[in-house]
Amino acid sequence: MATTLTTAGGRHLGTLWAYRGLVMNLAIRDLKLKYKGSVLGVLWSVLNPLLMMAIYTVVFSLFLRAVILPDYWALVLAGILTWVFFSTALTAASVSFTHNANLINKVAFPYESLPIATVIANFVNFLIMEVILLVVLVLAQSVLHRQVGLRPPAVLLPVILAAILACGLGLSLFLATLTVYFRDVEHLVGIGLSALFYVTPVLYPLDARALPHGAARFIPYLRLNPFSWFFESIHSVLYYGTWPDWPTFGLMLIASAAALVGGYAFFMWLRPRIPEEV
Amino acid sequence: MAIELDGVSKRYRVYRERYRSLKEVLMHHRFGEWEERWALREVSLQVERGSTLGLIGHNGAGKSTTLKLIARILVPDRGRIQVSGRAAGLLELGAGFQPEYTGRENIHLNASLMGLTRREIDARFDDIVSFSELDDVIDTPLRTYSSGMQMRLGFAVAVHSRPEVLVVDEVLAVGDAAFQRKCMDWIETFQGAGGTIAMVSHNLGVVREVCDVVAWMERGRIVRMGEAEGVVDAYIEKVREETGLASGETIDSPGGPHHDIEIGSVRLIDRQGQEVSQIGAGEPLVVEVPYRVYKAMATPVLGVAIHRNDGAYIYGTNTHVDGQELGPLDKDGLVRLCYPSLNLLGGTYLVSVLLFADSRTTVAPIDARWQQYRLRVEANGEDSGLVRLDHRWELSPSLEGRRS
Repeated sequence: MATTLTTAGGRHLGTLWAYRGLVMNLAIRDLKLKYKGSVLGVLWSVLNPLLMMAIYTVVFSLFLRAVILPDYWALVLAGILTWVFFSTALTAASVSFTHNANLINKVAFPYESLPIATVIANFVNFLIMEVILLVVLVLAQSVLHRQVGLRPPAVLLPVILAAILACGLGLSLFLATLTVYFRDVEHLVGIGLSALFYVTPVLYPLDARALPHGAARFIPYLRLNPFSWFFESIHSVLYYGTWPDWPTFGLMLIASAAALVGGYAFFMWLRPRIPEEV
Repeated sequence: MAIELDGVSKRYRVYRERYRSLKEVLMHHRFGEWEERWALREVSLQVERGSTLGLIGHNGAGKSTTLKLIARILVPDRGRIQVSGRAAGLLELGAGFQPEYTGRENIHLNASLMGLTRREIDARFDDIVSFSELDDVIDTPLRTYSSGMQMRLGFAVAVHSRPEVLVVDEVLAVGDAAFQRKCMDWIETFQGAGGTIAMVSHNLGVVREVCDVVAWMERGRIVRMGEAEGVVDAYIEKVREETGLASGETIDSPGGPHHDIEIGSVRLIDRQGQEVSQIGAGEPLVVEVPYRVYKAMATPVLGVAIHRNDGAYIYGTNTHVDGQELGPLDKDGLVRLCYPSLNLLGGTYLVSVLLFADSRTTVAPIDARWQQYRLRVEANGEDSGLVRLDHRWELSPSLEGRRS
């Protein structure tokens, strides 16, 4: 059983590769829909995270004084962009089988292309935002502090982004498949993400010195959340400009590989029945 | 063999009560109540390269499941399926079309869904457009297309995926007459080039015309398979028995809303040239059918059928089976069908007039007046049956005149 599943999985990856043109076309479709009405669409997708950054910065740093860090806005922006990728990609991908039932029913094609394309479209968007982020960081550092904005650890950024992509792909395949069987997963994903947002160090570092008195005792528990490993790594290389905590970095790599392999295996396990159940 | 099914079975779950959400499943500790139903049991069939298989049978007989298995959309629970060569499914034309996309963008998306690479799409793009005859509007959004145009585009993309095995489900039942003809022409070319087809159609006329081999399915099994004509005729016979209604040619619904040509107001005329709704048995009758032509037709076929008011099919014929060329038609006109003597028994009859695009589509009329003209036949006799056969009695007082 295990070996047949493995060979089927391998063969299926070959099919998926043959359909790479489809994945690309679907991703382009997603991006086009997102940017429909062109100028305003692009503008909005840039403005949205900036606006969120401004709000969170004001609320958490000035108003609540929950996080005390220099240039706190930069940490918020780096965190928000990654979070927006995870949440929009997973929300959209979780319904990509159920909302395309008529396609999966009627056409023989590797339908994992659907969630994969959704994730890729969101990832392309994320990459564009990361480039803008890097430019903003470099400019701000040189203007505000007359320093070089990026330090050597930033070379790890591509590795972290790749891990984020792998994790997004795996979770999307898992959620899209699960939604076929449980229609309310679509809503649960939304609820889960809102809850996760606060227990994941998106807007704060897992650093006792930056957090209010008494918050330190929660840090070990928060570290158990696999998402925290991604955000800690991102914050290290982009905000602090330090090499990441290597065990955390390693855990992140393992978690992303596990998510990718696990999500794909879960999909392959239930794949034969999806056209009937969807 | 291009298609080979060996002991293929497919099982579905039929839910009486289905829990589709995590909440319900957690509450009830199960996915619902279902029974397993075998949609296909031990189906084996083989289709040679270059041959066309037709699947006929009632709804739920397993035809579509078989097609979806051949198209590799579904996976069998038991048995083995082998399809050699590139298979393309025409189960739905234009699957995944985006209304906001232009025709051009939709070609790219749809073709890649059929498994074409970018390079293949670019190479065949011009052919696809010219086949679809949408050159002028290819850069306008799909939502501005008529449904016929969308269908043409979908068909154009599908045929240009250059399949070796084609899986077709009722595609020919949609679209206007011109589109149907185009499909049929292409299918003929495809067959001529050695392509293999598996198709489902309720249009028995098309099945008889197009298929080499026909499999008649009932409750997930093949009950009879063989040369097309024989199987289709046997099936029609069976359906007639079951329904008691009885028209071989028009078991299925009349055509779609696309009228390229229209039947005008039909008149039944007696020997004096008067419009009538009642005549005496054995008298001549003329069915006068005016038609309006909105779009020129090359090979239209006109048919007239007579049913008794209890549904019994008495007689039907059309211009094609009688060897008459009605077309080409490009302007309005009139057709008369004359019965020199209408040898019906006394009773009430219903006359139908049907107009077809051509002889291959004589199950899906483009316009029809189904049992719309009531005709009362007066007869004195008390003989019985369906029609009065010409006859005379010879009475002989002895056995001497007996012919050996």
